[in-house]
Formats: sequence, structure tokens, C-alpha cells
Amino acid sequence: MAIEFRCTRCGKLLRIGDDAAGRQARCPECGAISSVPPAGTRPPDLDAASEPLPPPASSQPGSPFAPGSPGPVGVGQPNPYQAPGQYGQPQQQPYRASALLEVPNYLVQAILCTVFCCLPFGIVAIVFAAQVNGKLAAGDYHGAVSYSHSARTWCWVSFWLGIVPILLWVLFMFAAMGARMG
Amino acid sequence: MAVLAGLVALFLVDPARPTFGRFPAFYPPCPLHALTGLHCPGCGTLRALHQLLHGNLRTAFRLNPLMVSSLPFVAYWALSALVREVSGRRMPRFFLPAAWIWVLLGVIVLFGIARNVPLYPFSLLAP
Repeated sequence: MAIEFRCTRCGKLLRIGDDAAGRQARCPECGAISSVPPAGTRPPDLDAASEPLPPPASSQPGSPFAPGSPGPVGVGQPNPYQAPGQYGQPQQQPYRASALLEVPNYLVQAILCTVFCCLPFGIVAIVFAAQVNGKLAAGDYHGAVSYSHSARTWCWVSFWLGIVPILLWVLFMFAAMGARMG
Repeated sequence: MAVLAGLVALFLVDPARPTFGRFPAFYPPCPLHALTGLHCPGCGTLRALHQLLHGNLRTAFRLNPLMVSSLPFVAYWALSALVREVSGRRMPRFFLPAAWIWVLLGVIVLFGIARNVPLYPFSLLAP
């Protein structure tokens, strides 16, 4: 059983596995982050008989009813949602997108480390960042988290290996400068 | 604050010069360049940032085209992180497909190789 909820920004109907309950997920349509509701809940508008997303454009040209408006659904045409057991699920299917769980991939940090500090370890971090997004796109949340941790670790390794020699050098230069002036 | 102090120092002291007034400039030499003489993909970043802070976009681009073209994205990332810290609101984020990140990695590595080739079209990439 999957959790279904709506993107808080664009209203897209999203679906995600039960283990995502209470976590943050990203809408693949608009990129907004939403909190995943507890398992077993559905968007309230879905419990009403109507699926509020717009029907295919050809069936109702110039519909005066905005998506989700409580107007009379399907006046003058057969309403498939009056028989949900028969039509409901298959017809709603194309409107759902899988939400992407929010897992940081540390890509920007990895690139900054590559550029400013320690090149080889920054590249390792970029490789892990790529794998985070690959796993996320494949729906493997736990794999993504594991790669996310690796990316973070290598960012820090790169950062410290880069920053410590720089700080030592700057201290050394100031000390030398002070010695020359004093 | 540390970033701001760094930018002020970078504005005042040109990394391309070995001295600042009568003092030696305090920038450390790049260990990779000192040991091997190679230009890494990030080589020229400090000099480019110094030129950017003085408004010389063209010179900055010549010093490190890859870093300068990625700056707007890094700036957006920093801004959205700052907005989230300060106001708790989230700016829209973009999900990069993994393939794009692999391509980006390839571009960085190829750029790093190309700018070390001492032949005409590639030598433009060297800082």
C-alpha cells in the first residue's frame, strides 16, 4: 500500500511507499518539498467521489469548473467516478507521479571541495552524489541514504585535507610577517 | 561571515601577484601545481574571483571558464540555503537526474585534462 498525497505547491497527486511516512519528499513536477502524511491517509479530495484533476482536454472543452472546484461533476455526460470499483483506479492512474524522497546529495559541496580544496576526494564525493540521485530516481530510498552519507563523508575528508594545509600556510605567513616587522 | 571576510581579502589582494605592498601575499601555493606543475580543473579560481570582484568578467572567464559558468548555480544554492536558515522557507529545488551529474563529472575531468594540453585550442583553457 502506498501513501498518496498532494504536492503543497502544484497540487500534483503524488504516490510514495509507506516507509516514507513523516519524511520529506520532493515533487518531481515542480521540485517543491512536502511532508509525507502518515500511512493510510488519502488526500481528502480523493475521498469525495470526484477526481479533481482535469479530464483529458478533448472531453470537456472550455470547462467552467476549475480543478477541484465543487461544481457538478460531469453534468450531461456519464461520470465514471460514480462507479469507482469499475472505473476509478485505472482512470486515475496517469495523473499520479511518484514523489522523490528528499535525500541530500551534497553535490554543490562536493564541487566546491573539488575546486577549492582537495581534488581527488572531491571527485569521489561527486561520484557518490550522482549515485544518490540515481538511487532516488530508481526508488531505492535506503540505497540513496547510504550514498548520501558517503558523499557527506568524502566532502568532509576533502574539506579538512584542503583547509588544514591552507590554514597552516596562512598562519606561517603571518608569523613570518610579524617576525620581519618585529 | 568567514565567506565575507574571505571575499574582502580576495578583493584587496590579487592572487596573481606574489606580493601585497611590501609584504608577501598570504595565499598558499596550490600543492598539486607546486608538486607536478599541472593545472587542476579548479586552477585559477582565486584569480578569477579576484577579477570578478573587480568587475572584469572577461578576464575571470579566461582564467577559469568552468568555475565562472558554474557560479550562478552555486550562488542560487547558497541563497536558498541562506533563505532556509533565516526564514525557514524553501526555495524551489531542482532534481538533477544522475546522468546529468555523471556528465558534469566527465566535463570537469575532461576540462582538467584539456587545459594541460600545450596545444593551441586547449591552451586557451589554461589559467
